[in-house]
Amino acid sequence: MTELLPGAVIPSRTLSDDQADLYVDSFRKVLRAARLNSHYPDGRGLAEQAGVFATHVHRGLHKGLDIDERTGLPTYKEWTRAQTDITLAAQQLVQLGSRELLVKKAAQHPDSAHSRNLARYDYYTQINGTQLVPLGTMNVAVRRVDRQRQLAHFHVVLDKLDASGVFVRYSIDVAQHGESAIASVDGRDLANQSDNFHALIYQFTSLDSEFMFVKLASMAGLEVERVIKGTVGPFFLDWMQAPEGLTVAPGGVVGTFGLDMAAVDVEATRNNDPFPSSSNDAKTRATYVQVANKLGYRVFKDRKFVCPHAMVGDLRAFTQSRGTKNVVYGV
Amino acid sequence: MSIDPQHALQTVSSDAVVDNLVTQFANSWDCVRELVQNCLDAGTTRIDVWTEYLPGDGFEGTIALHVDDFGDGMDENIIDNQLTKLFASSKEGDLTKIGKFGIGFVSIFALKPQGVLLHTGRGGEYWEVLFHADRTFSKTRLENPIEGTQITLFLRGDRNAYAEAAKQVRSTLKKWCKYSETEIVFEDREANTSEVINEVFELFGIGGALISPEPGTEFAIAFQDEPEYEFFNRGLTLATTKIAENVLVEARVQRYRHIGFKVKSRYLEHTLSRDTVLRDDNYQTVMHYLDQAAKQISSNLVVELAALAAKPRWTADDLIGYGQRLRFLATQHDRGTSNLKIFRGLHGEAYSAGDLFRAWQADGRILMDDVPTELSERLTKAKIPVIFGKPAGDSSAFPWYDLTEILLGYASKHASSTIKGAVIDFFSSYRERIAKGLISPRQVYIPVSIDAHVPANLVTFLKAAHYVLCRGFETPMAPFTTITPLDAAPVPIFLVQQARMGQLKLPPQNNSLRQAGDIAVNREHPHFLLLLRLFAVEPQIAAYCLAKALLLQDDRDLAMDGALMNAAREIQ
Amino acid sequence: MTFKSEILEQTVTYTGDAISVRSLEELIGGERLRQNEQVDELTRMHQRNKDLQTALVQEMDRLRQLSQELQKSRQGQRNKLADMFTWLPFVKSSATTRRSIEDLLRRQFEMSSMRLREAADFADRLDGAKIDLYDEIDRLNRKIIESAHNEETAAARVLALRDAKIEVDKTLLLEPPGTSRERELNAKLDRIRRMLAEHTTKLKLYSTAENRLAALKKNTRQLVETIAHLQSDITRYVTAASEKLDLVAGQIQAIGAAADAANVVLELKQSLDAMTESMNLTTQFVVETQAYFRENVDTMIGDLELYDEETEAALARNLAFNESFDELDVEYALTSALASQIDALEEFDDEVEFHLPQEVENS
Repeated sequence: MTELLPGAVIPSRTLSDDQADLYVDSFRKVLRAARLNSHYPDGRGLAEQAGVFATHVHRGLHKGLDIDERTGLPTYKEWTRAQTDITLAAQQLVQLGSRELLVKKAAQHPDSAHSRNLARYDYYTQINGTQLVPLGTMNVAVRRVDRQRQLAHFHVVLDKLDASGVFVRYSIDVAQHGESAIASVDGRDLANQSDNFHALIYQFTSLDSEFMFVKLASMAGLEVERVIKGTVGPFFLDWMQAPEGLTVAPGGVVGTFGLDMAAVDVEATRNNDPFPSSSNDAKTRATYVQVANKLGYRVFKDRKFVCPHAMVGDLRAFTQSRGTKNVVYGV
Repeated sequence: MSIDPQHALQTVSSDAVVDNLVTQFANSWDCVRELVQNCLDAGTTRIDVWTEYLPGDGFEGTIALHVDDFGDGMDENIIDNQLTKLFASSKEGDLTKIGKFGIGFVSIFALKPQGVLLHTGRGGEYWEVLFHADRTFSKTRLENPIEGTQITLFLRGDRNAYAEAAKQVRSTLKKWCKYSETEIVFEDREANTSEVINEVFELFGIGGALISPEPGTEFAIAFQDEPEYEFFNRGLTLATTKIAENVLVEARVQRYRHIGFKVKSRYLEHTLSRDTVLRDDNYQTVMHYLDQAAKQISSNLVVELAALAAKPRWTADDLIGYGQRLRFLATQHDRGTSNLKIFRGLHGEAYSAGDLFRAWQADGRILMDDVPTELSERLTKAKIPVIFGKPAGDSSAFPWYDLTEILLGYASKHASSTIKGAVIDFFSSYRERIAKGLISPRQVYIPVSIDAHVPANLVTFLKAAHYVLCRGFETPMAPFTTITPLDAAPVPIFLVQQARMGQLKLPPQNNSLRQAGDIAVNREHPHFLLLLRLFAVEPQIAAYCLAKALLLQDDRDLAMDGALMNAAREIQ
Repeated sequence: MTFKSEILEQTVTYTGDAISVRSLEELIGGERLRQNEQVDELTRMHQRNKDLQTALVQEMDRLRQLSQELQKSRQGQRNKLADMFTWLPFVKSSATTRRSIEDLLRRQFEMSSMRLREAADFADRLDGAKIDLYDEIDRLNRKIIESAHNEETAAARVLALRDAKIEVDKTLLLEPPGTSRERELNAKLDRIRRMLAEHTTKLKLYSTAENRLAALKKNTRQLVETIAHLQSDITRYVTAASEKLDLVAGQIQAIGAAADAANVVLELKQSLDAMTESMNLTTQFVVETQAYFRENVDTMIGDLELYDEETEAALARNLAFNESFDELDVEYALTSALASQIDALEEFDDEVEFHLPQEVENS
């Protein structure tokens, strides 16, 4: 295989089946312990869908599990594979016919297509109906409509497996004058999301909430109340390059969950994220400060951690060394 | 830890109405629901509710009730201006939130706590707030990060009171929060028990379905004998009742007598007193969806009935299921509108309401029996429906009542497509007539011996009566035949012979005898024997009487009596 | 003297279930049903294949167009990029579409992954069908051998009975009519006739069964060959296409990661080319196998229909044969049985011993 665009392929590592099982187990425990609220990507859904990667679920139908070396999360290809299988499960089950017959045939011909088809039948049965993690979808809900003032308040949520390899949820509270940017409000206050608005948010998910706030506020007819970006990842595995000062115990997984909000109701601008965020040059920074004053928003950045119990102390020390105090949950 | 000097001691909403408001709920433990509601609105995806007992110096100790969430949390501004102020909710009118009035948190004072401790954090501010029994509170800024909001109520009490409190908390959660979309875990740390409060949103009953007409609105709906009507917003109970009138407008009450439902919708709101659902425009939207859902399960029912009717063999469960479904279908206003073959014939055939209605129109009868017989088999072969069931009159009559209702439904649809208004009155008589027409073939088809030739001694008499009748009606008729009953059971004087059947049946109930088939006379009927004797002396009168007897049985306008008499007089 | 007709007291055993017109009818009917099911399944697969092909061809066209328009866009030429994504179900109208290219590319990728997964699963189902058909051939072979064996047994029996009949006929000529001996011989002759009829029928039935089963086997073998072609091709192409698509997966993320808009377009173009290539491979296979498949399935179905009529005719003949005892075509059956025995003699000179009846030789 030739590389299509030199240097552009996402660095990844393929875990063996055994390693993958351990990984899936840790991944799910970490997500459970993270107590993610609605500003974060759907932790329960992620944990459920990750179950599809376990060997006892896919019964050896897939080989290994590709992990994005930048984020410690399964790659886009893997999530797509899980999504594809879940989506097709019901239809493929129909095509495969009766399990009874497959069992009989598989017994007659072990290690043949029949035994693979039986495994596939069981796999699809098990994953059929599994909740799908959105890899890039937006939902718009109307919060309230003030018909006299022609003002509609929306709560917009965009979920995406970001190009940077982490899961991102953007939650935006925004009011719209008239029938402009976001959505039209029909007779029953149902929000019909506009493609343009979707495209706009979708393209900038890698950037921070402040950028999104300013971008939206610059659009005619919109009043932005808050923009919150919650992320799942990166996760640090023992073989990965961890941030300086953080050592992951052998076999351990450290999950990190970022929260980045720009909102008018944030009391003061604070940065409680021990990881460096995308740095802007001094001039841009100064422009942001000006804009923030004008628009009246403040920015708060935070990050919480989940790690093995034994590492909790080390992690606290690490965050302190970075000048932040973060919530750390042990598993 | 440092005390914020500016807010050393404040009072929760100084307004005097607080006392009234906090005691408004039927059960003071309902405040747990209010706390859960706040957690949900804060966007948590998990709520931990737990209780513990802290022994005191003497007999009494402290009961601690914890409600922890991992949602938005609060900063100082929110604590001062929303949490502790009545009617200061920012959620008013927000369709994505459940809370509306800004009284949720204050309701915890109904339990008369000794103190309430609150830890919360937002935007990098972390706070500890301590509320005293007199509702004054003090705030302390914390250094260490806190996620979400954790509330602890401290109540005085002994171990018995603790056990009762734990029981109340659990039952409150079960009553109000079991369908919460967020996981709620209740833990009694003294009893060392832990359980997930959430239950699957479903409803058991006939034709049950989960229907989601749009995101944020979901119905669990089914046919039930004693339906319950339950309303939720994001899974929190708004109203639950078995009395339709409490939650439905009059026009819907009848329709939902046999349909139970649970509805979760972001459109639904509770009233201030939390005892019923608010009937506003949004409620109307939900009702519109409800009617659609009911229509859907009603048509599901018909499909299920058709499937059962087509099933070659029935188990006992099938039989019961069929009866239940038919009974529920009979309660629906769109009953009988389907063309599906939902009625089971005795010999594997299935019939639609239209098929039976046409049979009834032809003969005034719908044949029904609970066991297949040689007769029913012959009738079926002759394309005369004999459906499975017990006709009226039987104490365990099944399902004649439902069948009547369904046929009435068909009749009214059938008729309303042609003549409206005036016909409605007419239908009130349909009910009785259809019900009367559901009858066992054994009661209609009578075992008789058909004479190959009319016995010689009767020929003249019957010819005379036939002549009178034909003249009277002014229409030609086939000559009479004669029969003898085979059973001891009484057989009427006239029967009708159906050409295909070779068996005689009772005259039809709605059409004229003359049109129904060839008329046979029971030559052993006492009245006939009497007339026969009379014929020997008074042939004209006897012939007239026999013709008249037929006319009487035919229930016809007797105005043609004169015509019959004149015809009789012509007999020599 | 001992008579050849002592054969009347000997029992003869055929292997397998007892054969009769009804049982043959059932046997062939059952087999025909199985084969019809197989052909039905194959027809379904055929349809599935067609569906997959249509979808893949469509997607490939779209990607190719998209690639062209992107190129134009990069070169600053007029382009129809805005109209490009209207085929996606979630894009409402071209006029208002300004979707993120990354989004669209990912949706396209997810859709293509879906097609490939379907194709890969399909390949395994074909493999399974192939195994089933090989089993079927084995089974038919066993039945054919059994029928052939029974045919031989029946032929031997018919020959022996015929000898016995000749013998009795000859003896009867010498007996004065009306004697008890003469009556005894006549009774024996009737029994021989009856048994001759019985075994001649069996001979014909076993012979028919053997031929019919052989025809079935031929069809089954044809089916298995078709499926084997289809399966190996689909596997080869799916593997190749998956590899390409895997590579694209990494590229899509890379495109998203690139902040520079010009780069986005450039990388997008290259990714699209790669994706087009993968679709190309899959489509190519479908086109190749499609033609083969179509020809063969249609012919096979045609064969089956022909065969059905033939079987029915044979069965009808046999039935008529069985019903009218007197019209027994013993001579014909014997001739053919003899012919086959003689063939066997010629072929296996050393191994088969064949004795003509003594009396016949003498006379």
